[in-house]
Amino acid sequence: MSPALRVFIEVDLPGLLAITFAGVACAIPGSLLVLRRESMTGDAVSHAVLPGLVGAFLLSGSRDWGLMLAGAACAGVACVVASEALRRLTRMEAGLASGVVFSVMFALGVLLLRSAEHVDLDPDCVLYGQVESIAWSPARDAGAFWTWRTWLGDGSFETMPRQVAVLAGAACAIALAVGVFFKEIVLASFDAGLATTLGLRPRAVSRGLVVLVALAAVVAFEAVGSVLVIALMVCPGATARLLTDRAGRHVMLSAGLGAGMGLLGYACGAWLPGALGFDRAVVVSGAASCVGGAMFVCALVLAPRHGLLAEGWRRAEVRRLVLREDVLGALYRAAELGRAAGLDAVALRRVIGSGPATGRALRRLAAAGLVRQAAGGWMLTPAGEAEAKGIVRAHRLWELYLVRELGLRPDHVHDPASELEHLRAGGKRVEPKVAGTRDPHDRAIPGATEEAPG
Amino acid sequence: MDVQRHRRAGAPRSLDALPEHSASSPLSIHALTVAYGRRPVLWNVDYDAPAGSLIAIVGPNGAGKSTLIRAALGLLRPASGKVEFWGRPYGEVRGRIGYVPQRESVDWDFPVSALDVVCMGRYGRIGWVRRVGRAHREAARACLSRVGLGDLGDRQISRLSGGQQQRVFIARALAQEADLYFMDEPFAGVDAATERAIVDVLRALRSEGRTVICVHHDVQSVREYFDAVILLNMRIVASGPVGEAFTRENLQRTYGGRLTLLDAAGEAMARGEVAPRGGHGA
Amino acid sequence: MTGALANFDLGALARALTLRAGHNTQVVMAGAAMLGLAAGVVGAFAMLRGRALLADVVSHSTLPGVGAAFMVGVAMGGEGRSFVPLLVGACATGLLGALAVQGITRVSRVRDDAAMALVLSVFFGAGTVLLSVIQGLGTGREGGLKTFIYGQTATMLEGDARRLGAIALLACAVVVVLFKEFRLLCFDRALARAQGWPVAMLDGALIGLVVVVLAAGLPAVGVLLVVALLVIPAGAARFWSDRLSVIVPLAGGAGMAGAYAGAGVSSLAPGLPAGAMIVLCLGGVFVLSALGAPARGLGAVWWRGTRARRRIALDHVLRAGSEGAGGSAGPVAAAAIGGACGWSGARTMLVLAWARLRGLARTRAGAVDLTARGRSEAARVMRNHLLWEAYLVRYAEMAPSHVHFAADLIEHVLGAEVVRELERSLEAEEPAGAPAEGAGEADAARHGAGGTA
Repeated sequence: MSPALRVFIEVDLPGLLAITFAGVACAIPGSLLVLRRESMTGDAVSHAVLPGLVGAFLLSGSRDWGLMLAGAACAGVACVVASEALRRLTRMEAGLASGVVFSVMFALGVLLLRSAEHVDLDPDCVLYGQVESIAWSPARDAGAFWTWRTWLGDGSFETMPRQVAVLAGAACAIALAVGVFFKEIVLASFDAGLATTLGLRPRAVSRGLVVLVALAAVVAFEAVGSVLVIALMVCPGATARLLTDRAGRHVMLSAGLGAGMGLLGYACGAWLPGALGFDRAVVVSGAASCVGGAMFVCALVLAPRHGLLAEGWRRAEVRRLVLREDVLGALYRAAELGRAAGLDAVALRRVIGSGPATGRALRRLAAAGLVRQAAGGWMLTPAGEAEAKGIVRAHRLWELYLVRELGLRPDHVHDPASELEHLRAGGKRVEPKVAGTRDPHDRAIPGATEEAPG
Repeated sequence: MDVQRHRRAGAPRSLDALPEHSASSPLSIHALTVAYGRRPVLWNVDYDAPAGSLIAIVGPNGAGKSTLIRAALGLLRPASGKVEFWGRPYGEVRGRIGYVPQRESVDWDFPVSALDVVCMGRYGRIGWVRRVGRAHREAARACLSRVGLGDLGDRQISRLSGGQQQRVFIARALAQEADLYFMDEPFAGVDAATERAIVDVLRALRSEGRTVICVHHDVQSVREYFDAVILLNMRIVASGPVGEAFTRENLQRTYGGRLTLLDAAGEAMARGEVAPRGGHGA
Repeated sequence: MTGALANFDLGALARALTLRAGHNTQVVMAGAAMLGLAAGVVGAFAMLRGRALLADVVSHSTLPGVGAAFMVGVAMGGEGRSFVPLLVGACATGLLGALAVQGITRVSRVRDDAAMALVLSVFFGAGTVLLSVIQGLGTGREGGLKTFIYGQTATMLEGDARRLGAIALLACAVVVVLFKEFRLLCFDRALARAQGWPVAMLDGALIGLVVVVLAAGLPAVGVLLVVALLVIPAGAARFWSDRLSVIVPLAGGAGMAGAYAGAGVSSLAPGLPAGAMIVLCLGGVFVLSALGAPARGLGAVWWRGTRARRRIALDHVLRAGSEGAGGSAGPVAAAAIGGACGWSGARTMLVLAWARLRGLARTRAGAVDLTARGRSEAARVMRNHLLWEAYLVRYAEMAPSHVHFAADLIEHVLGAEVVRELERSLEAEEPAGAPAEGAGEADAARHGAGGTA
């Protein structure tokens, strides 16, 4: 085994595993929260677990982690239940109710933490967790069921630390629970009214979800701190929201993104500063949150369907199409008015009102063989004329339709018709069902009769 | 005088009359009072739905139309009163009752496909935990075809038009295969094609002997679409077959003395004509 | 619990709260009170504008600003931890966080809840990274920076308290000047826009106030809890009134009192974290308001709901008793009443017991019979319903928000004038509306009604 690998296994592996499992455990319930538009519940729960954690410790007087986790989970659920009750009973706004409840609970937690002198819970751990300090433990410290001997066995590192085992177990349990009840969760989130009438108890489902959120928050809270808990819950879910349109894929993608966020975050926090020449690592949980934010921004810009780039591209495409048809239409009308010499680019720009894009559109049309440059300016080729005819025909049919069927005034129909003429369905131009040979301005509708454009 | 008025409205008051009519009626409501906080929004509603008919609930805004449906389905807890279906409480006959909520009541951005939504109608039959099997999926697809959306099953619901979304909801109700349907404003804000598709579905349901109760906002089309009507404004003003209960006088007592908006429709109805349908698409 | 809380001393607390505990404590308490005042006043508007959680986002987003300002300060050779630069840095990133939330919801399909949680965690995460970098720098001056997370009032100097006072004054002044505009903004944005108010600018001003107050509160209460200063007093004040002109000063007062008391309590022992104590004191104010406030408190709401349900139940019993057995006011089986109303046996017993207690009904062998008082009460109920019906018919468009069938007397809701008019209209309608059948019953009901009217 190379020394580097050994260092990796000895120093980094436990923390890396812990943060990855934490990512999965948090991202699954978190993605459901995003779908249900209750993301701030994650924030509230991750704050509210503190008094439960410390309270259980103070009451039992021991660092029995099982007891502390139970106390924290209870506190998390209590916070959600209390703010829901407050909202229901007093018609208080949901955000306000949860803000009041979780901040009071967190204050109580801070007070307990400070006022108990011998608590060896570090307030910093509450925020940042202790990913960096999760390490292999000597065999004798570990409990019964996760004492698997390591494959190296030379005594320097012995058993997987408890946090890793707990996080792995929690991630599996959460994935299992969500998988089993997925149908019910989706229905209760989408349409609680129907769920009630079908007897599928949406209240029970959302309570169960809160329990999962609290469970994830608690196990991850201990390992990675409250900051990262919120980030792990929301960032993957919000990112996945931009990448898929199916609930099942959304949850699975979130789980993957959560794991990736943990891995990358660890790399950025623990290794990147060293690689960049700093002598100290930065806090891993903070780095992972930043990775989550970067992930979201990437998806926001680059997502294939819902990303800003894709949307901008689609919009530009439509604009190009519209401009192309506007140019063709303008040339056709010019020919109709008897300007056989064609229109020059300047006149075209005046008609269409779009700057340099018109020039580009003309060049593209010329390349496609639909227009040609003559002495007096641009003219339609026969192929171009055929297409332009269809556009102008649609425009005038729409004008006729708007006047005849919707009762608009003739001088009000040009602008709406200029938009409607571009409508396509299934690759074909849409024409209104209206019969006539002349439009409201008494111009011929091409193709309606045999008469050719003048 | 008020006793007189209630008799005419077709709602029996006396307690003695209670037990005899409930067993056959798909829905019987007695003395239903619903209060939000301390203010009642429905007061002492008595009603028996005739089986196998299309029934409209009509009334002004805030009259408690949706509240009536929601209370009947147990989505709201009434202050007092009793609701029975075929003479039995709701919990026992859940599977025979379908529900179409208002379209705005759900998040149409939710990442599910149209077919997924229709499959939800079968969840009551499928039960907890079990997956949606192929048979259920096929049944759902058939329902989607019945409302004319057979080829849009895989489309995400936010990419459907408003009318198509409403039809998905109707298909979901069909998938429930219920004997009694409650629909909350199924015709609200839909295009003419959807309206026709929904009416066809309603008539098909009636011909199969099922009962449909719709909250309806368009007074003009009541006579054309429905067999029976409930005129509601916090209490039942009148109820019964459209020909008897849907009179100009009763409408006036529901919508108030100044029935300006409804006058044209009222006159058309008084002459026994069907009011002309608005819009160019019809 | 064996630590700081153990040497709790009521006398010391009383001394602290009456400003007799030494100059330093006085300064701290005065500063905290000013902070509470500002936060309460601003928080009331933030709450009504639906921005309670956005305040949480802003407070978390201030952390990277604090870190960055500190680093810049150190790099420029300064001391780093001076009030104004840190405040400016905190405000800058706080505002950036709020803008990021708006930007995300505007350009993407991600909803505001997810956008808020995301911005909050990412900004706060970035802040912790900056703090850990600062620790790595080893300037030796970074110790005080940690207090920004949990807050510390003990180090508050007179100058700090003065600055807090100035900020409170500024917040109150802005609120007083823009009161009308903010009110419109909170209750009806569409109207505000239609009237030509610069809605975006007003919104910006409100967010700006929120950011400044939160940033000012950071050193005392800490990043994690400062949002409580904003939301809790506002939430508590909401229970007492529906009027903005009452809510805003009440929220300011509640914030001031809570912060004052919290700072006082925390001065008693060195271990008590001031921020947490202030929040807990505010929480106490909130709980008292939530339980006891007469306007919208839980107790009042519960009591009114119970009374209304009882009222409705009694009305049913009275009507059943007076018209039950085929119109003749004879005894009716208790089970029949309960069955008709869908009540359980126990609920029926309870309602009937209440009716007996009020002297409205007698029960004999499972049958209910109205007393004389019950009959006259029943007549009143019938009259109320008659009049409500008439009202609904006459004013159907506006009626549903006014009609209150279960009110004791219709006059309480509508006023005597309208009721007289309704009665006249009923009498005028009588000959046409009531053919011979059933006229006797109607007469009986109306005569009864006349008796109590």
